[in-house]
Amino acid sequence: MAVFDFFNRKAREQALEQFLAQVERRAYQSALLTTRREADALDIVQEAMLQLVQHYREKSAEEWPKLFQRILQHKIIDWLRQKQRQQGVFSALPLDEDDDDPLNPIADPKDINPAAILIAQQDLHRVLTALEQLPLRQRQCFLLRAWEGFDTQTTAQTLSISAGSVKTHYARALEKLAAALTASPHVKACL
Amino acid sequence: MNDEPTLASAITQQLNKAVEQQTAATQAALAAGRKQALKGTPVRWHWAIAASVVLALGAITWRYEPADIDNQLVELLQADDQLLNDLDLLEALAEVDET
Repeated sequence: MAVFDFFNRKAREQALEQFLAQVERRAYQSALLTTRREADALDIVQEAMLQLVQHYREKSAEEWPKLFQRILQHKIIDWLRQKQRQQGVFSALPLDEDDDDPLNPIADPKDINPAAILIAQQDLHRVLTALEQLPLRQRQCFLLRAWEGFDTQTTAQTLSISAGSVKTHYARALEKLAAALTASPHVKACL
Repeated sequence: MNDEPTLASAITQQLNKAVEQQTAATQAALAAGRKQALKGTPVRWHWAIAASVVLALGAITWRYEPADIDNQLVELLQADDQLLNDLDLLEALAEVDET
């Protein structure tokens, strides 16, 4: 029985390591969009991995992606709050930005379709900059919905916000990304 | 069915490309962090860098021995004492000779 337990534990540890190896690079990229500092992004990812290992290693492997993203996104928020405290209230970075005019029409990406232009351009730097400039909530919603493939409900649970907020943040993120990525003269020329 | 890529999918393609372009150093740091996390001990990057700097400074200054002023003073005083003792002895011998 003890031998069985040993092999079972070993297999679980291997599965956990495999899972972390699969997600760590995307997690780092996700954290880097907020911190813009490699050491801080590495810290965040490692703390998230450590917390998953310490508290959720016994959970089923199917739950790990959601749990990991939940931990990671909260670590990113913690990092931003800590930065805000260090920098003082006057230079606080926006965690959540709701000053958009709600009457602004939400851009339909298919109307302008900068996607084809983006792909043709291969303009990685412009995309990353546009993502960095989004408020944190909007960026998180976009990354979880579009990149991680989470549905609205799972995204809401991961970020501890309502499904309605997820929809709003996601729509605003798309709107801002479309605006940012079509603002440059040579992209406009392609439209 | 619209096969045109959406803005979101185009951006995520670019994100995937950013992940692919991560440097070997970043990948190694992530792998090291993962190993530490699996062991249950975090690597503090800032502390690791600070510790490396301290170690480097320690290695540089290892052979540097500043002058020990206190020790030199003690030696000087001891030499003075010895000289005074010798003078006392000479005086005592001179007195003995006179008597």
